[in-house]
Amino acid sequence: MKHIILCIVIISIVSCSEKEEGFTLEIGEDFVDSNTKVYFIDTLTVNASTFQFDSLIVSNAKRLLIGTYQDPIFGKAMSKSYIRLENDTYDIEDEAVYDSIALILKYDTYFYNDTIPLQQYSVYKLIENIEPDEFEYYNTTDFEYENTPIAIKNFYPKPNKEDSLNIEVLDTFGEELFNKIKDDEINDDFEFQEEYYGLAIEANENNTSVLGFTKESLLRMYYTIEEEEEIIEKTIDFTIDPINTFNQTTSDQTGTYFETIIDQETILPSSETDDSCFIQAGLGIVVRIDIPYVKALNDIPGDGVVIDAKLKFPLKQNTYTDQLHIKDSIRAFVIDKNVFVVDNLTTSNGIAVGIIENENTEFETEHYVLDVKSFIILKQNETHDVFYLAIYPENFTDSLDRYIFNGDQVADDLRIKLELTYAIYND
Amino acid sequence: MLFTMTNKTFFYTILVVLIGQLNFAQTNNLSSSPYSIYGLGASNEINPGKTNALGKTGIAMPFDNSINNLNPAAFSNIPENGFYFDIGVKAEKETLFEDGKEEARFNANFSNMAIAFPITKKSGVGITLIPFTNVGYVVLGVETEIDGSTDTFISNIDGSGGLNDIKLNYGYSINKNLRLGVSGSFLWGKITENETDLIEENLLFISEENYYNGFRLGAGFQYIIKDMFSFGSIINFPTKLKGEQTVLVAVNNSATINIEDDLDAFKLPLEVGFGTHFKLNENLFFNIDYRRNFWDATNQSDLIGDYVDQDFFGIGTEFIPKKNGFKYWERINYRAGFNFDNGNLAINNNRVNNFALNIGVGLPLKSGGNSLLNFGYSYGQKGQVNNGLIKENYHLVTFNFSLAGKWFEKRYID
Repeated sequence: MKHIILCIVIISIVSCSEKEEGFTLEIGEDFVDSNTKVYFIDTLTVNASTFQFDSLIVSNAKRLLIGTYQDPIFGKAMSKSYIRLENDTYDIEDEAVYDSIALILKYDTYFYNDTIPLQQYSVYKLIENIEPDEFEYYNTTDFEYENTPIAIKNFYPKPNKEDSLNIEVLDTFGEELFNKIKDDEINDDFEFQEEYYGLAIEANENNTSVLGFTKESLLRMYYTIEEEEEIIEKTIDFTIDPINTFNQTTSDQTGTYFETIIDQETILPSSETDDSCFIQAGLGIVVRIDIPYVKALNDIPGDGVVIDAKLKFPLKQNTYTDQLHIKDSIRAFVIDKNVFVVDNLTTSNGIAVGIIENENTEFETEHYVLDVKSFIILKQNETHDVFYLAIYPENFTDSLDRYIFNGDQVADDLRIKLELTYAIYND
Repeated sequence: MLFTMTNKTFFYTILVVLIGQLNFAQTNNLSSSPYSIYGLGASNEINPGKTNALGKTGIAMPFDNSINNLNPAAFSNIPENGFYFDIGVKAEKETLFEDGKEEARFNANFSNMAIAFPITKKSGVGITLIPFTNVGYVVLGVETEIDGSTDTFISNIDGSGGLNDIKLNYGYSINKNLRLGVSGSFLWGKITENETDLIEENLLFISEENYYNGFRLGAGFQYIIKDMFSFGSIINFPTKLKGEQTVLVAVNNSATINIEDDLDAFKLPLEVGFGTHFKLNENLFFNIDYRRNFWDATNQSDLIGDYVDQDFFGIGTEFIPKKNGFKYWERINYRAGFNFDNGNLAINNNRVNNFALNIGVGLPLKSGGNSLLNFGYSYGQKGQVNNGLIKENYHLVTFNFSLAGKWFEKRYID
């Protein structure tokens, strides 16, 4: 009796841990249907256009960006750097003798456009303190400087071969600074920056390239001390205050599509710009993507969910070269109709990054593929606000890179297109 | 002591009961039939007591040392001071056939728990907890076309759960020949369906949890026409089970949608049954039952099938060589039966017929006592291979531990 009951207990316990291991589970495959209906949709309207942000926040720029280039489509783009200098010690021995002063700009290997012709930089002394405009520096911020440069440098850039560009500065500037320190008129950053607001480094408007320099660039003063028949060479380095150093970008868009831009609410549809849309980093020219009929998805009967949404951006053929190079990723802001940036475009893994792909070997075009699923879901639930995407490239605030994309009207394989996978899980 | 069992026995019994309850509450994965995808799942035909080996018959069978859940009228003649407890487990091995393919399935679990006791000489009650329906299917690799593309996506679908039935039976003897009974069932349970779709490199996971509950009333009578011949009938009234659904949808493992919604009520049909019980002598009887479920009138359909009226037919017999024999084998109950039903679903106008042959024994647990270990074995077939249906051959083993004790009776001191 007891044993029988025990048996039952054991059987029961065994029955609890029963698993269907070792069995195949294919029967029923034809008999059971998936309850899910999946649609692949690549016919949703995508309107591509171009606009220009009124200004970009360029605080904490990662490089000094100096140069100019002329482009047949974008016009002339220019960037100059405003730098504030600082130092740890202001100590020069009484017997020291001034030698020379130079601005040493350290290449960070970034260049854009043609670096072969002779380039010219001018360095000016600021006559205004560098101050942020309500906590931020914008690409449109500028400060006044003297009319006469304290240095002019003509050079052939070697951003990948040389470490730095050495710009000799006028001795009148150097000696004055030397004496003020030696005579203890300047003893700390405060006293230094009260008299020396900083420097502006500007490219000649006929330059053909834009170059990047690190913020480890410095102003170096050389002097000597004579000690027992031996002359000792010494230096003082004024380094860059990374917070109060930024790049100002300007352009001359006369005769280009962008000439008509009044402010950031001026939209240039790709149909009116040779079926193209444009990005120019640094100047805030970006592509605006409008997907107006996302709500049509809600007309599919049943409850649905966006499985995948990829936006494909084909680069216009033959518009980029080794000199006018492109980066391999793009990103996007979600903006409203007043071009207010609402958010970054994100995925479940963080900020969405569109990666370049080369798919169409026949035409040798490259395109970026951006995951816009979160944006499609946002558009599905849109009420009175209307949202758009503003597409921008890597180095958006630290370069003058430009991109030309096909618009929304070109041949099927080559146009900006949305590829959507949508599933109805409940009829 | 509540009734005459040793303390250890009592302890084990409680243990079994507890484990049983956990199982009812948690796994519910009692079936592996692909047919259980339809409706509320596959109907349960396993009952407490001895009926499992009697072709699932017993509408006219009186209470006879084991709980008969098939007719509430049978609860009227529970012996005075008797207390009956029944717990069952079942194990099933199925072989599925489809288009030359053959696969095996195995499942095992608790099948019931029941108690019954008399109230007066003329009346008695019982409570049974049994599965009402079982859902248990796993289908891997269903391929479906993506609309607007030449690609397909792959789905894995599984379902589990089912409804439980806690049923209160009350029987009353009008006189020596006529017994009446009523029953009330509370039906409740959860049916879960999970679908995982691999759509290109994306994973769509849909989990639907469907909760149903409702009451169902029944009645029955048993009438002894002559000593050897009884007739019985039952009726279970139509009812609606109200449903609620929780849907969770996740794309690439991040939950995006969580909906709670009311489901359409599921209609259970009118069920009418008739049975006869021939008791040739103390040692041999025969049962013949017929039941009909009027599904047509519910006007319900499932994804690819309609609900249709279901007929159930069963025949069973029990033989005991010598009821109070001295030898153990003489006291063993030998049983055999056959049952057939034509299913409640027509898939493309093909019915899923089910038939089973059963044999079984009731092994007395203690000399002089009425407790039995009821063992039943069925071999059955469900469905057919043609017309895209699946044929299932199954071996089903049931154990029912039917304990008979006595209320309010003090043990004699040894």
